Amino acid sequence: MHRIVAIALKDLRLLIRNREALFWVLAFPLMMAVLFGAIFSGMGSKARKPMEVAIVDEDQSEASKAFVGRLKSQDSVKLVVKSREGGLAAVRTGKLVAYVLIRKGYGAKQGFMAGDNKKLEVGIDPSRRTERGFLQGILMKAVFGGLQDRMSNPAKTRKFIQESVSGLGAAGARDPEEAKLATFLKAFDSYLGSVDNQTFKGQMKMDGPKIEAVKYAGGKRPRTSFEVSFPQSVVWGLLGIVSSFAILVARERTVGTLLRLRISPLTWTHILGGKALASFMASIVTMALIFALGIVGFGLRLGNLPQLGLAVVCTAVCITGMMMLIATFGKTEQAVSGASWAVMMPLAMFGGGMIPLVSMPSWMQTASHFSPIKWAVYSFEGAIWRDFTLAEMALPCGLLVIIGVATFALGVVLLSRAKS
Amino acid sequence: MIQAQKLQKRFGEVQAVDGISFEIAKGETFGLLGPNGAGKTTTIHMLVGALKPDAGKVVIDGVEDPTHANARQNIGMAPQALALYENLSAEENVSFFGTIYGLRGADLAQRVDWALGFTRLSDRRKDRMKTFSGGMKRRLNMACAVVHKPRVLFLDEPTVGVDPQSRNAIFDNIEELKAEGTTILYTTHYMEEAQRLCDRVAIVDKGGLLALDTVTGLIDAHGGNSLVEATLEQAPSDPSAFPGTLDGLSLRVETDHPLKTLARITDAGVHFTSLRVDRPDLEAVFLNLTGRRLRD
Ligand SMILES: Nc1ncnc2c1ncn2[C@@H]1O[C@H](COP(=O)(O)OP(=O)(O)OP(=O)(O)O)[C@@H](O)[C@H]1O
Ligand SMILES: [Mg+2]
Repeated sequence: MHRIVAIALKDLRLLIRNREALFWVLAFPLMMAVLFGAIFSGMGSKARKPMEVAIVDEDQSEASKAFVGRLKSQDSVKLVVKSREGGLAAVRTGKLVAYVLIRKGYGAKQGFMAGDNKKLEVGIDPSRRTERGFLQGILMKAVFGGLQDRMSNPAKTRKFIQESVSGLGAAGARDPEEAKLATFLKAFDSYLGSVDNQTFKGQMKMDGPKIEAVKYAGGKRPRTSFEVSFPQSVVWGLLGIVSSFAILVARERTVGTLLRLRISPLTWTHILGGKALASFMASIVTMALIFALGIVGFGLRLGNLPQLGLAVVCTAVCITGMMMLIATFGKTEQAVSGASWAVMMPLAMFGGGMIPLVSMPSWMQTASHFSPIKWAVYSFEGAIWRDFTLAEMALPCGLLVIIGVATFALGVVLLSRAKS
Repeated sequence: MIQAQKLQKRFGEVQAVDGISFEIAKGETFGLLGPNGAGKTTTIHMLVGALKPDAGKVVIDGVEDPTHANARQNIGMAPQALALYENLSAEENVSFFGTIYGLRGADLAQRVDWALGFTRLSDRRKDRMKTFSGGMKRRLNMACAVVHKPRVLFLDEPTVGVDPQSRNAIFDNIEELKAEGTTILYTTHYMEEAQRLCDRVAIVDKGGLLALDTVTGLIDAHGGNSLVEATLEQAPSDPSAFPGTLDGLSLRVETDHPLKTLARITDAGVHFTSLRVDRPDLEAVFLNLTGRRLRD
């Protein structure tokens, strides 16, 4: 055992002193975890940011200014004042989501009919379906907001109605439609004159549904994007370990230190056992460091520490086995390094190292079953946010151990065969 | 102590070792002298059990299988290719190899100190191996081979790429180990080294053993004549009475008794302005055995 430990310590020391390897094992995955986490959380906050819309007011009337004012008062939209060409160009080049054009004549009509909505024009890229619906709602609110403004004050409303009636032209010269409208408006005016101010106020107020803020209470979903990005990125550190240790094995061969080990009283078990112990320890320490940083610095839930520990240990077993097998894929460092990335990259990409398991299309999720990396990520997620029971952990953890033991055995057989 | 019996090893088309046999006595320093590709390294690898011979047998210290743990504990080897961890310090390298031979604690520390002092690396013990000069790396390669005090030591070209000073340091090391009774097998293609260090020398070429004897034995048997070259003060009165060939005032004589030849010349009353006597060496032995020089 002493000799196995000596070999493991030597290998760990070599790993720690190899800056390039350390970068791939620790720095790179941490960068990925933070970066991916930040990007995905940024996407969420982007939707919460106000939609940027160009406003082109060619009318410059009291009514148009009031309309712009109502739009501006909504915090879900941010207005950028532009000329007609400027607004169009900004939408064409994707700088702004849409433009709202108020053509001349919008405020020509006075009183109750002020604000001709036919003079409003909205330009938006048809592919922006979500934003279109969203913008429609915002515009409706601004349009009806004007109506509401006028109606909430009966005295003001009556003034508008009277102005509207006089705007219809002389009583004698009205067409039948205008005559009907005049009759209606007059009736409405006398109705408003008869009601109690206070009652009216409350009734005419147009309110949307009330929105309550509900705080997220947990459950089987990631609470933050970091809970997805950390398990996802740990994978890259594990890849770094597989490749670094497989390269160390190859280097022992090319430098000739393996010859020294083999003519010493060490048995093959000592040599391979030492290597396995080193990569096992390195895997555990790497995962522990990355997850610890995630927990301390990025709010990963520590709901189930024993299960996270189990996932980490089983993953380390799997990684060690794969390292052993990959070490046999070439005789030189370059060959082994190339082979390890060629094998591990697709496994990592399909296993959730690139696209998080939760956002994979279904065909990819099926394909991912064949990647040991997937089971590692799955077991981490199980412990962090999927709220797995111990029984649910058994599947990914069991698979990891089985794959680890099988690849280890195969690697040992192939390495021993190549030794003479 | 070491027996090689009709060792054979083939790599594809190349018959690297073709029936080499020899026996090395306890405490003896034995040289394997041969040009590049002669099969020296292949022979050593079979002796230490790193390569399985196609045919033949190896016996080390009475143990018939060099891969047996008992045999291995007593073997040390400094491989021809520097086999060290470049990112470990000198001390860590030596200590690691000590540990795998079962050394522990104070015993290990003391042996590491000794090996580093022995190879004059004590003042650089904390430095990484990759910062060492070629000669220092060679010495460290040797320190790692002797830390566990092996009774049989294999040194495969321990002086390659080393300046004369480091080379002398390595020679001193070998002589010290020899004085302590270590059995040493030393390979080289420098005949001066074999001549200086080895009790007996085996000359190998193309996988075969051409001759095996003490250095003087080899020279006597295969070295051929000594060469006497002289420049005379005046032309001899009777050139035909002179041995060898005379070209103006310069004389060249090949003889197996150079002193007798000189006596004959001085007896004739002729004086020299310069005189040179070349005794045959292992180089000449190799030339006579193969028709080629050891190094071209
Ligand atoms: N692993 C190998 N695979 C194929 N051929 C080999 C191998 N090792 C040695 N040989 C061949 O065997 C022959 C003997 O090689 P070896 O290394 O034993 O020579 P050497 O006497 O040690 O030479 P040098 O002085 O250059 O070290 C050479 O022709 C070499 O090419
Ligand atoms: Mg050699």
